Amino acid sequence: MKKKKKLGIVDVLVWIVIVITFIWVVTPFYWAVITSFKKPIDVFRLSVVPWLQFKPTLDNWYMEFTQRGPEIMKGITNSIVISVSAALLAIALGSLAGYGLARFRFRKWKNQDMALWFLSQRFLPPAATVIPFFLIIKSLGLLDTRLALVLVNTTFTMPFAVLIMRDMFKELPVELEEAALVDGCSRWTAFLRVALPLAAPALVSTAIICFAFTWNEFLFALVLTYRQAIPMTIVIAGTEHTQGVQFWYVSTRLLLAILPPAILALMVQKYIVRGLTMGAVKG
Amino acid sequence: MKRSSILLVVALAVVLVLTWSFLALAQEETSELELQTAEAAFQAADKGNPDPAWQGQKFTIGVYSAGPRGAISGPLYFWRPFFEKLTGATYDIVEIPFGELREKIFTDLMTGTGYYDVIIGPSWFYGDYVSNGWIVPIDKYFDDPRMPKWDRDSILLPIRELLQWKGTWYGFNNDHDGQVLYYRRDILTDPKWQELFKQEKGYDLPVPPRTWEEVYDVCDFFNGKDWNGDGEKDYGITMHLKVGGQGFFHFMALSAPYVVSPAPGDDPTKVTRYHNVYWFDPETMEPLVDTPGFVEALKMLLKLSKTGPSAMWGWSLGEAWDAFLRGKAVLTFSWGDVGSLSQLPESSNIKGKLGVAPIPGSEKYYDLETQQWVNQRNFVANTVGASWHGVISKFSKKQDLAAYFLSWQATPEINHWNVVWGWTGIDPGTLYDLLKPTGYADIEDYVQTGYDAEDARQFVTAYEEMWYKYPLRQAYLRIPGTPEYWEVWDIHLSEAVVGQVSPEEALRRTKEDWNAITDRLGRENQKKIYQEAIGYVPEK
Repeated sequence: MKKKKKLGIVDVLVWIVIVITFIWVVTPFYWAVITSFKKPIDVFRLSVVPWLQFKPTLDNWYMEFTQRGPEIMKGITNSIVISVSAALLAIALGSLAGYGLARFRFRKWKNQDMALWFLSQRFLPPAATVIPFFLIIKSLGLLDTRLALVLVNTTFTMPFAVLIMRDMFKELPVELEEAALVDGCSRWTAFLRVALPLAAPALVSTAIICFAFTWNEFLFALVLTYRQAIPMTIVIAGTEHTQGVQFWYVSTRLLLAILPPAILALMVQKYIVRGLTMGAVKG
Repeated sequence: MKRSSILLVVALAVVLVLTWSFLALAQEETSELELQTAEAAFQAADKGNPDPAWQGQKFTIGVYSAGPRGAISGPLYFWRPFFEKLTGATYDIVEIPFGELREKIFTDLMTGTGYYDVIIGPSWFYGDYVSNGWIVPIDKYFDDPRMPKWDRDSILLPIRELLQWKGTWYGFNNDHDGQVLYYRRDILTDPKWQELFKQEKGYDLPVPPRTWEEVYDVCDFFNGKDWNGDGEKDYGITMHLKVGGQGFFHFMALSAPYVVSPAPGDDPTKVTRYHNVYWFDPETMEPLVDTPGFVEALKMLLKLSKTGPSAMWGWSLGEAWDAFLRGKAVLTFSWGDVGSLSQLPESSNIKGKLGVAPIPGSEKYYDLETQQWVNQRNFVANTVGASWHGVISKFSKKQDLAAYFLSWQATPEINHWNVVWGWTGIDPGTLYDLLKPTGYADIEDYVQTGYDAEDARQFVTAYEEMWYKYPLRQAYLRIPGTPEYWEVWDIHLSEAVVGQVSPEEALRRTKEDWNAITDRLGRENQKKIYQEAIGYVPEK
């Protein structure tokens, strides 16, 4: 018969940390959920227990859908289209560039310099480029289009994809592609049929991160869109007006905005974990 | 298929079904009474002669984001079907988050993009609008037979001046903003509290308080007492004092009577170098913000802030209003929104208990010319706030159609309809909003939309007294960089409120920063625009 193991001080500390972390992570979501079911008059008073401290109501949700429904749907649809497109474009271009940097040695502009240049694009404050981008997009006649945001977001997320994919391809044994070349594959086929499938977990996790960057982007969305192409970030910002921030609508919109990325993350979580841990343990 | 995948698909399906069910329900929350009264206003309002060439045209309005039933943007949605019926034309409403309004609109105007034909914006944009020639004068439309006629003389003078620049009209009548004093009528008129107040303060409880000194006494007396009977201590005043929480608007309204002094001679409202000025010395553009009037006012603000919850140092509008609307504070001062929100059961439990008075004056004011305090009560009206109204972009290709729409919205019938329905966020400010005999409105206009009769009477009469009867008014800042001047002021005021620096130091820092902004933007140019904005004519 197994003896019950006593909880040691370390176990207790671990549990305390876990509980604190759990509360830390869950509290904002809990706040959003209960606030979305509160009347405005109940929002600012400290009340966290539905039915005991306040009577939950569906009014906020009802008002959002009846008055803002089409706009919210448009915002979510735009966010999904823009984020997915930008993520796909970023990994498509990023994996090609990353493969090039991993497998070929460039002379004039050295690989390291190019990698550094890509990295510098991540350091560039977006605010510094917003007016030039506005003028470019305006002269292309693309203001208030989803394409404009796809292009801009791809510009900002692609360096990340390039660098991650470069490291990923570096990790792959080059012998696998050489074997394919010996068997008659072209370089392009070897890339598509051998290297890319092996890099799938990294591709997925990179795409998810690019998707998340784009999903949360606000500045360019604000400047480059007016009505047709507004994403969810702008819809959420619209809860602040001259009568203050409408926290009850912030909550409803926030929960709606969380939904698509959360579903996506759940669907591909096994790839994310695998992609992020690839190369972590080396033989 | 794995169980988790099935669950995910089911969850997704449920979400989609719920979403589309809600969408299927999509309809605006318009009541029968709203439609009936709107139809009557529509029929009664002048319609001019819409140009048949406008049929099928569309223009675009930029307005801050508050939704189809929200303040200021709401009426645009509401009246759109009427406008379409009237002209055969329509418009797009582009909502812009409040915090990004300036960047978004100025980028459009600066780059000549011309996406917005009409901008429903705040009055503090005028310095940039006019000095850059971004908006068009509208005088030419007044005699245009196509345009509906609106009653410009009915707009109360302080607001009317905001729509003009050097006597030329640029803005169309819409919203009318100013801060007034809100108090708990039921508590301040309660004999029990009146008796206790007299015992403690040695004089009769003033109902309403007329000066900031009286406001302080009232708040000090009620703060910390359970005057609403809920078993908890309640507050004297509630304010929004957080940086970025629009607290500087509070200070503007509070400081004006200490700073603005009447001109000697026949016309006390004459703008001279030392009288009826508030922001800068119009001869030098030297900020007045550290003069003794401002210092005294800031000390009063600090005293007042001790008679409310200390949490209000971190409060924005919503939290501050909520404490009053929920019945936790005996007094606040703010815009017309508080008056209309107080009548909504989902936001307020003080309907029928509301007292409203014009913004308080001071027991003394500082004369900038003699550099001495004058021990005399001083009352100064304010137009603190945005007074959201429409202007037409220079880059618009549909200026006439836009002018038609804005003229039609400015007609007395439509504008008054917007005022009496509180959800529109359009506040009273014309003779046809004021009650008889001063104005043309009946209390019934307000009562039928849900106002308590006495609340409405107090609400409208407070604006009448402030804008129609107060001897002086506070100049509005309408020069380029206005938001920047206000932003640094906000920060330094907050430093004083939280006790980080003394009132004198906070105002000295503000002066320093304002001078830097003025120098950066060009002192001479700023001075010229400031003089024009306040109607100052330099003496030769």
